[in-house]
Amino acid sequence: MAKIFSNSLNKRITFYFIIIAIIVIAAFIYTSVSTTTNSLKEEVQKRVDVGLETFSLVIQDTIDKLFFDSESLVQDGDILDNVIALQDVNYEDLSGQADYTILKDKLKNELVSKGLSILTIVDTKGRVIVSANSDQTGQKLSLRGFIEDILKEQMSVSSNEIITAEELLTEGESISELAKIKRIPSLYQKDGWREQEVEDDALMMTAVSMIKKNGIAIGALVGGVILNNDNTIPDRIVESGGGIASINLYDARIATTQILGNTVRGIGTLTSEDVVNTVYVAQHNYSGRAYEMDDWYFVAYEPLRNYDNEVVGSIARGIKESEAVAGVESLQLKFIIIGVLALAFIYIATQLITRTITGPLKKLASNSYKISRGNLEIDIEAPDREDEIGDLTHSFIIMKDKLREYYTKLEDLVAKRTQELRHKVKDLETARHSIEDEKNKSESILKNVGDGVLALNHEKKFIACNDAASELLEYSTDEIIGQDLSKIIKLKNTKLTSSNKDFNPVTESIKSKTVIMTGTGEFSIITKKKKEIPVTITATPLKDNSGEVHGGVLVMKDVTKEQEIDKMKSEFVSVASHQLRTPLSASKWFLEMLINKEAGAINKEQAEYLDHIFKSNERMIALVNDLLNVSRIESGTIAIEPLPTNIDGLVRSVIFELTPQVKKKNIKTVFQSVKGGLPNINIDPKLIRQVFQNLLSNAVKYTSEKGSVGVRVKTDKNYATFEIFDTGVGIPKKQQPKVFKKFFRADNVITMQTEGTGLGLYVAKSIVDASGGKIWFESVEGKGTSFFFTLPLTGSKRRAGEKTLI
Amino acid sequence: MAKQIKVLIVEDEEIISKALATKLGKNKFNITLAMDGATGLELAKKEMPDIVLLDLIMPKMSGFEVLEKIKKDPATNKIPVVILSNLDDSSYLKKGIEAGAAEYMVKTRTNLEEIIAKIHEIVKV
Repeated sequence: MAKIFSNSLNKRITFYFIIIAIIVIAAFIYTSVSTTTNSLKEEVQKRVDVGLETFSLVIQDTIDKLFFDSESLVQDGDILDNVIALQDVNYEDLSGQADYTILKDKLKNELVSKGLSILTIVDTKGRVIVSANSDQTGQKLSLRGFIEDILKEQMSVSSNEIITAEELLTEGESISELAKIKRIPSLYQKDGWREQEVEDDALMMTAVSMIKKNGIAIGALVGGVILNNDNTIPDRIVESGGGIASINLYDARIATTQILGNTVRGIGTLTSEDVVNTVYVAQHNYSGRAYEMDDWYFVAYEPLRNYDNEVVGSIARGIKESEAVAGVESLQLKFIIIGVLALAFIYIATQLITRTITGPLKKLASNSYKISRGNLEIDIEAPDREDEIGDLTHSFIIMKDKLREYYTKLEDLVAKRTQELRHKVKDLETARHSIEDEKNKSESILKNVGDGVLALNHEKKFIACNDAASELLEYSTDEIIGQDLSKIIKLKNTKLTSSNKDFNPVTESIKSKTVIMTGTGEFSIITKKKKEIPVTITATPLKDNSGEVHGGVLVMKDVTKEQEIDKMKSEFVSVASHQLRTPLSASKWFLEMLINKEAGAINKEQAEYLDHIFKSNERMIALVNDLLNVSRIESGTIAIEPLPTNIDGLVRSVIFELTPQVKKKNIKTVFQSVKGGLPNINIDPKLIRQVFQNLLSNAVKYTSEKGSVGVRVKTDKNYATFEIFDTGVGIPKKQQPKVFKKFFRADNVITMQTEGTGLGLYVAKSIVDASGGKIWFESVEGKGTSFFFTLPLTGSKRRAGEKTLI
Repeated sequence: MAKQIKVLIVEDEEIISKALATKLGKNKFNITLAMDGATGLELAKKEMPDIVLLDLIMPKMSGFEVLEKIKKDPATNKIPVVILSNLDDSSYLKKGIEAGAAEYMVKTRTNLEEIIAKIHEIVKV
């Protein structure tokens, strides 16, 4: 039962639904999260970029303010006066001079109030006149040649410049220390790359203002803010914008809001290689992801350039990636929870749906099972739903009812058929018995038949033979069966007049699909022991329904005795006829001499009687001739030797031969052949001549004076038809059936004074039959007769025989 | 006066022989009769006739044998032989002509007058 009412459909539907749901939900979550993440990242990057712009403006503002302050100080009368006063003094004696002290104090105050790192006045040669930080004078303040260049050009400028620690020594050691920053590679950068090296430069916002007297520069005021370790600007930026802000000298951070570890600012940490390549090598802004210090950041860098437009550092903004996308993770979690809930919902929904489908299906399955076990009597509830399942149940009920109906009918039918089958079996049994009987009968007939019977298959191998055949051929049955025809049957053609010595009746029969019978004296068989036995052979092709030959049957008759009898018979006929003819010819000759008056004079009456005797004697001679012919025809010893013959010519010559009788009776003769004449036909001319002679001489004989006789020829596809007609006495209707019988003479001619043996038509029919044609007639008594006979256009078959007709 | 034509008649039937002899005698032929084949052959050699009328079916030696021997012997092979028989099968006719017979005549179909005419025709040639 479990096997039949399984839950597999339910499981399968649920499984597929869940799989599809998982795929859809996963795809949805993935797309949503990645879209959200990407847009969030874009937004963060944008914020960083905007933050950098602000940073840049702040830096510029700071430099501008520095320059403004510096220019204002130069315009201060006190400073100008005191610088003028200190012109051309010995720098070593400056300290203690009132002007120097005043100027120094002034600068000191300004340094503190303006929040500067250095504030120094140099002369036109760049030598320090007075410095807010230091008492040293006369030292050169060069800023790597920057100040010297500016003094030459005699113009005020401001820019970010590099100042070395050594140079800063003029401003005091504590200031010089600012330039020294330890470089710290990030975790991402290669080990040992400039590791632990100390940067001894400082990046300084610098303003140089010319101090002029009467338009001529007499010195310059140099103000600067050292950015190293000064986190005020980054802090200010971060305070309003958030994230990270850094100022870098070359690739090292010198001021930053970034806290390294937990407490220390990341001063000295290095920017990533990507940034270095973009900002310092390619000298462009950088915007994007970068690994900074210890984590991934969205960053933006802008290069800082000195007065000579060289990139000396950069400003940077950044937001830590992990913080920026922190919201996304929670979003992912939310999505997954929603997904799981959706899956659970889908699972429950699927269960409900499948149950509504599989529930009734299970019921149907259970019923089907019962039906399959042969229980057609179960009741199935009518469906209470109007959907496909309802239709199915409904159809199922109909099917079940039909099935029950058919089953009942089938049982009846089976019972009926079984009965019929029993009868058939019985009939078959009977038939089998009768066939077996028939077979046994056939076999015993075959076995006991005196003639040798052999059967061949399509390969011309023997498949059966009877004892007579085995005896005749002197081969055992086992030697014959399976052997080739040519190995067993060796024929000798003994036909005297045969033109084809290789003619084999058996192969010819199979080839031509016709029955072939040989005559006595045509063939001898050579036996195993080389004996020659004269035989007649009847070869019959075995044809299937379609007419295809698939073998043959060969019947051989030992005609040794027949031949002897035939010989005796023919000798008898020959001797008898000879014996009869001797007195007939003697009578004929003595009568001839009497009638010719060689033995003395005779009177009229005697002459008349002698004439009667002579005619009777002639009739007797004719009768003997005809009898001899009949005997030859009947004994089958007559030979048929076909030659291509011009039958038209033959007919004309027969008609010509009848000229005396025709002229005597003033009969009109007619000959109508086919258009263009009849083609030559292969017939025995002597025999066919005999036919025309017999028929035409009859026609002339039985036609009265001034009548007409003739021959008409017609041809169709296969035959030439000859009509021999006359306007003679005709044949009485009553006697017509006997016309071709031996010694037939019609009543109405017997009384006539005409000769006739009654054998002419019999002979004609025998010849026509033997030549493959047919003969018949139409006759009306008193009006005339037409004899018709046909000859095959393909010609007559050759037949061997010792005799020809007279 | 023309020389008498010497005719050897080889015929076993007396009645036939007589009919022929009567007719030929009346027509001034020199006639010799033989009643069987062997005698016929012997007389043919001995008498050297101008023509032989030869029957076929005879005791002792058949007409064909006689014909064959006459034609084989250089002494007699010039003598014309007319077969006069009642065997009328064309195969005999053929056989006779082939064996050298000058003519083959069937008794029942032949008049005595025709025989006379034939003898004159052959011997003249």
